[in-house]
Amino acid sequence: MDEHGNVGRMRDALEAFNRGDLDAYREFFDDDIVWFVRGTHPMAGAYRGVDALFDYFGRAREATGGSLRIEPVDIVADDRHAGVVARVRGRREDGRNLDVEMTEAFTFADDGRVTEFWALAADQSAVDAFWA
Amino acid sequence: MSSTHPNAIKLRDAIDKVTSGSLDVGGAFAPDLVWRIVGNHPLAGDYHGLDAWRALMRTRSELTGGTYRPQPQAWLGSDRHVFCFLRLTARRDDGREIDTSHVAVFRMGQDGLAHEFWDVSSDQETEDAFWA
Repeated sequence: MDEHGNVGRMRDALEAFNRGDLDAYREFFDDDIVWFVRGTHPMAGAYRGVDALFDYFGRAREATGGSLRIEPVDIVADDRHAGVVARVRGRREDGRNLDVEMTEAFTFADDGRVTEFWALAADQSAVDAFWA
Repeated sequence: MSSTHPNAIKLRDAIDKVTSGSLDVGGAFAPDLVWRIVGNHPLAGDYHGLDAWRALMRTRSELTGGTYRPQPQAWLGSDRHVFCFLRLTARRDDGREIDTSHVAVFRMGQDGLAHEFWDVSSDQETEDAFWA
């Protein structure tokens, strides 16, 4: 079955994130991106605009010593949307580990850049404890 | 293509029937279906089996006086999952209203039936307040 181009784009974006190439990763996002982070932990909230978003990504990388990895299990997409099921893993310097399945929703602008993101962890309490 | 995957078409047709009032989904949902409602509100929890699912559908319809309207924007499928991007509008008797973006996810078994469902709201707080 033919794969939609946005499936490949999502895969490329996650690869850029996983190798720590935030400049390449940033190219996938619209300037007016709205990115929702669910939970009760200090990183939770809505990040509006690409600068706020990458400030958050920078802090998340710092807090995990660059260990955060998003491994897609499944990606579906059309021109306007992508859905991702991924395994997210990371480690804090104090030894706390994260290994959780996430469901992620992306919407795209006309030019294919991401305009909105929201997500759900299979185990939110594990996410809250990891970032606490 | 994700949008023409047979699993996407099957779930789209099944949910179209549900939206028009039928609770006969045997050709799309497995008997051991687990339907997960995420959140901190009285309807949240895991519903096991088709009888529990039907009871939930009736309760939800009663609580919203028949105004519960999921409006699908995209159905995207793979062999393993179907994602439905949708806008949800509904109204409670006391005037509370909701108008939120969601992605609903079905985990598909090798038998071609949905075995698990979960729904990811872009605004969980609004969701929780609406059903409280």
